[in-house]
Amino acid sequence: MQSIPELVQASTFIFSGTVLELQASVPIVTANELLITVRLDRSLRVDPVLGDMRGETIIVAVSSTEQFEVGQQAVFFANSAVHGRGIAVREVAHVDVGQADLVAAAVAQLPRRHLLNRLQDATVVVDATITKIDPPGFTFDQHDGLWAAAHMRIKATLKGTAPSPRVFYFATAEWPPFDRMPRFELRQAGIFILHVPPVDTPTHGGTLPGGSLVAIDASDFQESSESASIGRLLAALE
Amino acid sequence: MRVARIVNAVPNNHSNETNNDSEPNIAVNPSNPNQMAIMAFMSPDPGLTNGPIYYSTDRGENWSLLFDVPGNGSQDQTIGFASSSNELFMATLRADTSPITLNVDRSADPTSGVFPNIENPPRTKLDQPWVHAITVPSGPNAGKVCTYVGYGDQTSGYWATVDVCFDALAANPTFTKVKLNPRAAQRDGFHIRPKPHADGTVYVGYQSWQSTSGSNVTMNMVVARDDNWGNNSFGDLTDPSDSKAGRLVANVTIDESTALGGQRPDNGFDVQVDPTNSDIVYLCWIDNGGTGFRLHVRRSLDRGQSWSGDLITVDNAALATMAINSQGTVALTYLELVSGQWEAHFRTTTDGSTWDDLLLARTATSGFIGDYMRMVTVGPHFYGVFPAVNTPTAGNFFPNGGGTVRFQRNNNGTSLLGTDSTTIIASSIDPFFFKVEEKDVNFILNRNPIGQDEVDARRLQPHGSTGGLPIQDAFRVVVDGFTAAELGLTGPASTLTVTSSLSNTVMPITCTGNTSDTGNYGAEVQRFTFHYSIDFDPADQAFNFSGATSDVTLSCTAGPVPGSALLTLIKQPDPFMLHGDPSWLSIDLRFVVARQNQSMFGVSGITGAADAPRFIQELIGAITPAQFDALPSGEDDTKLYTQPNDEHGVPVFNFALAKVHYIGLIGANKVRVFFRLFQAQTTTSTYDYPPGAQYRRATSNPHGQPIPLAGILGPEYVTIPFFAAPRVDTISVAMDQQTDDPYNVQDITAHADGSEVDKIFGCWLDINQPFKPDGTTPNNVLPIFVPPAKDGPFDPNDPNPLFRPLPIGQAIQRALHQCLIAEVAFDPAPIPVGKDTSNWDKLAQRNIAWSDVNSAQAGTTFEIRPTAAALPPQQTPDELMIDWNNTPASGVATIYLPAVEAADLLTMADRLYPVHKLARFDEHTIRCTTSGITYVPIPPGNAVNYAGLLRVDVNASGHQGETFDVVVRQLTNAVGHQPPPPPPVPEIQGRTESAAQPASAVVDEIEWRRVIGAFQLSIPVKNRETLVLREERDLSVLRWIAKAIPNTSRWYEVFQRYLNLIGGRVSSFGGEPGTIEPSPTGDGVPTRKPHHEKGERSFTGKVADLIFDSFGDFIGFVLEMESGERRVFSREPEIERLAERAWRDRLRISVIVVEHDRLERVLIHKPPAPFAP
Repeated sequence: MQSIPELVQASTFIFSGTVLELQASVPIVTANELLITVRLDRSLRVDPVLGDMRGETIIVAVSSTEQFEVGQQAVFFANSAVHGRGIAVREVAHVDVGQADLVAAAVAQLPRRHLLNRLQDATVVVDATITKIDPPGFTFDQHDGLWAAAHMRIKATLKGTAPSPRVFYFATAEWPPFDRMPRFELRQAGIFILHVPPVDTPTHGGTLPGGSLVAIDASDFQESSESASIGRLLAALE
Repeated sequence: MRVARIVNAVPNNHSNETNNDSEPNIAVNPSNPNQMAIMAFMSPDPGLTNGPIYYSTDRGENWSLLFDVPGNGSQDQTIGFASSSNELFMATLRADTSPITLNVDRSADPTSGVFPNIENPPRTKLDQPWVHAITVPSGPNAGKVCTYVGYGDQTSGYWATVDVCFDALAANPTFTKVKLNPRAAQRDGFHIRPKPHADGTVYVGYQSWQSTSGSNVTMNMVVARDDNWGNNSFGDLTDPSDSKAGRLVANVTIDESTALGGQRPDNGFDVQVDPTNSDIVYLCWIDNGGTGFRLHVRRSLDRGQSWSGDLITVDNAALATMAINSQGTVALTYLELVSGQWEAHFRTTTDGSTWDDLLLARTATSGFIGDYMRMVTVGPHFYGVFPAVNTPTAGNFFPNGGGTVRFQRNNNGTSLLGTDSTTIIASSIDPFFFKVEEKDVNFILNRNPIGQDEVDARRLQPHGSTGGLPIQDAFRVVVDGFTAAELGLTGPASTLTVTSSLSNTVMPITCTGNTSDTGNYGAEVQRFTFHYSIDFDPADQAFNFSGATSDVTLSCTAGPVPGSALLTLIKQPDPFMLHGDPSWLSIDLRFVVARQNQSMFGVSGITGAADAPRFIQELIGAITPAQFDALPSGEDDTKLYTQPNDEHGVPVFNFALAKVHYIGLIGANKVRVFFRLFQAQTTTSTYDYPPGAQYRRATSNPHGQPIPLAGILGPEYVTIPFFAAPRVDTISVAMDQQTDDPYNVQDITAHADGSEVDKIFGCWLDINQPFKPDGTTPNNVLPIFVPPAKDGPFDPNDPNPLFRPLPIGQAIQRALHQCLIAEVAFDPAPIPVGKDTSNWDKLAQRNIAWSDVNSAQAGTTFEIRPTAAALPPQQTPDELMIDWNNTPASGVATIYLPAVEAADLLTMADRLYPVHKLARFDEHTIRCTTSGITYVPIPPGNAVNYAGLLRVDVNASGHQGETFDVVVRQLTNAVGHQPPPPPPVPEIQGRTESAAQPASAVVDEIEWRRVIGAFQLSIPVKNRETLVLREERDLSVLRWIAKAIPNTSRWYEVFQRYLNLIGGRVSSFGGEPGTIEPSPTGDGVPTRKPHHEKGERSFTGKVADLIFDSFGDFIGFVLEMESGERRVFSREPEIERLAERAWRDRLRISVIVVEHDRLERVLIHKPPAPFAP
């Protein structure tokens, strides 16, 4: 059995709920005996796009219905399977509903854990202001990130050595996976968490010079007001 | 009718979503078009590694997101269903790898979440994969799924490449990498578009970059072809300039740095092949050739060897995609930037030059929307997806009308709303699914008009009885392009409501069920035929109108598609004949077969051929209407003889009688009836006088009366008239010298109370009289082909032998059974041109062929009218609707039409029907099974009718004694101009509807399908021993007829096959067709087989009594045997003499009888030796 933090990490649809039926069906999904109907009582980690799901019925594909009985309450760790006429999820695990608060706390830690990971993996962390942005040059590569160069005036270097020149790159391309990456503006000021692009992510070549530092995750920029907090996290990492 | 629909694919519970779901792609399962998938640039659920795919199981009305796509979303994505395996294939560039990695995923059930990559090891360093899957339909690899993934291979440069897999359903499929460009080039372009055809032809289009100058690229548009599923490395189409693979279609320049509406250039490249003809291939692209971004469409009709110029160009265009449906209609969809907004256009063409234009949407621009979109077809239907800003304002979609739109996500008509139905959600780019489906509702009016006379007559019969009310199968409604579920059909008893402009109490209409084309009610799109009866209230209110006729509008709605037709009610105060039920077997037109010396209804028997006119003339006056109604109508009593003598050597004579009704007070003088025989069974008996072709007549004969003449179509005689008066000698005088009064020109005196008066008319059908009454002089009546003197006299020594007169059999008869039509020629009420026996009550028809079977094939020749050559492309061609009725579904039928290419006919069928049962049998023959209803499109032709042969191979085992009735109807278009009441607006479930009803829903012109003619092939299942003798004699006569048919005749090939059919039947019945000689009398039959093989029985004894009827005529004798007595019947004078002598002399005889105790032979044994004195 995985720990609750591990389950939280492995699941994107986490909720506490009450089993309503041990058989269920959802439009478009081929009916099978491993589908149960659960009323969502408390959203613990649910895609915000779905809104407030309290009271909604969720179809859960479980590994065995023998573990459940109608009326049973539990915290379900699951991943989305179907969003449409109804919501169906695939169960990763479930725990007693009494652990819901523990799960909620673990979920609440996810942003911090993620930020911690970003800080840990970062090459350079600076408190800086963007003074100039160079738009990307032309490329025939239709999968290029169209990397823009952001010139910085660095107020403080919180981790690593400030790059020279004081430039990092961010993607401006509107296609995946770059469309989910952070954009930056002139005179934007804050904490920039800069990385050497990992080799297994599609941030290759094209308009991105080799050895460049990039900001590619939404957490890679933090407001200046978080400076102290970032400092503590960095200290903790050391 | 074209039905267009747009559905925003984002599910309702994603109403908060603000992603830019651009670059959409679509797949529709051909085996089950309810299943559809859409992919686009979409983010996975936060934290989830599987990206989403849109999925619908109800033909695009509702969409869900399945989180199935490995790779944390994708950087490029295309999808495709195989033709028949239900497998969905995806080609995606994973969003979580570097270098970029291709996944080719396969799933039989995308909802299962199992979507394994089947191309291992995965390809890397590539761009824009484009997948196509196709199931091999036939041959050694039938059933295997071939997949083609086109992509730009970047492992060494950038080269157009196709990964070919010949068995994508294998556990570990093998993919073969084929580099396309054999020429020196800088690199290739982004778009590699493979497009396979079901015949194994695979086209692939790509761009070959020749040079670059800055961001300007000069490139060739190239089309390559492989004629064997990809086995030939796409080398089967070469360019004449260098003989290298790949035809260079155009050389263009594209500035890759420019933008249009925020959209980068160089998109909208596509290749499509016509599914009905792999020779026809289309190519489109967008370049900088125009004022902005110019879309070009070109076409090749010769497998890519030569190309047209631009068929259409559109400036400021993006994301063009094409698809060609099963009817060969080409659809082009693209975005066009107009006044700062994107317009999504759907345009189609059937000829490449005329393009209609349906504006799907007009929406704001919003930066990058992808490098492609896609459209596919299933049967005649188009399905596609385009990216657009999702502001839900009604005017954004179908701004010019022509379709309906549905948003699944919450909105208030102007803004998107969140899942709480309150929060305003910012607009973004969504995939918009669209479908343009061809759905049709057509009426087939079997009975039109319906006369008050007929209704009154039917009312005299018990309600519900045959011949009574309601009128069964009065009309049909054919609904095409739907699934059973869409119409709410669960089985043959499911109905579709039809209303009329009369109330349902005045004229009740009842749907009696339906017939499914495929025989089942599954998910496939198909055609359903609904059947209806019409009743009338006892008060006859339906006929409570002031004029002579009144049109009633029949209406129904299938899904969103309305259909209407006009049914005419007539008050017919004129002489008329009833069609009967069915119309091709009129109850007022009968055949009578009389043997020599056989008296009927007090009319003494015929003494010889010269006496036959006297017989029919007297019979006309003698038979009462009640006796007429009681005339038998079965095969044995009404099957006309083609030989002058029956099987027992007795002269036999064919006659026709017609009963004409009159209801009125004034009376009718000079009511004439013309009898005409057609060459074979026919669906083309449309009335055409004046001027007259099949229904020619002379305006005045020597008695001052109109008289029918032989009908002429093209170079040949196609009908021949018959009379009660002796036929004039057409060698001596012209046919217009014929008289036929007073027998078929009668005055009808009205009853004082206006009640019905019936009169009988008749004629001698002297088709079986090859000789004059002297028995030796040929009875030459008519040539086969028309000489300058069309109506004679005909010269037996004409230098052109085809102009010499022949006996009627050789001149006209092209089947054992022909169509006889009686025409009431009553001057005050002429028959309108264009009417036929099914819709006008002064025309009556008997159009039935009997083809007995045991183990043999049944069959008959026939003729049908070609579809009009100049039929507008949007109009449905004529069709045969073959109703197999009770024929076993395991049977197989073939239809031979030598003037028609089977391939052309099947191409038409592919275009017309989502599914059909037709297949090629040989070059001019198609094959189908004998279940339900079969529709056969009729190719266009000139004015000459198509001659054909219908063969039905019935599995008759276990059906002894049954009769299978096959009815063949010809359908054509009919038009009326009375506006129908507006159909109800269809209610389609959805949270938000902007229902801009198609303009075509309000019509001035009503179109429907009507039956122009029909014939019936009845197939009784009998003991073969009873069949052989007559079949042999028929074959003998047919071989004699065949000797006269020149090989230039449209009947020649048909008749040769007909002879083969009849010969096969003879053989099947136990005869020896090879020994049968041509004979005008059918006497070319050799010595019979051994008796026991014919089912003969022998009885030996002495004649105890002679039997005479009430007129004193000999009818048989009583044979006294040791086992008892047996009555033996015969009217033959020779038998009478023999029996009398045997009775008188106490001779011992043996009587041999066959089936039905029919006397076959009499053996006289040696008289007993006298006792010794």
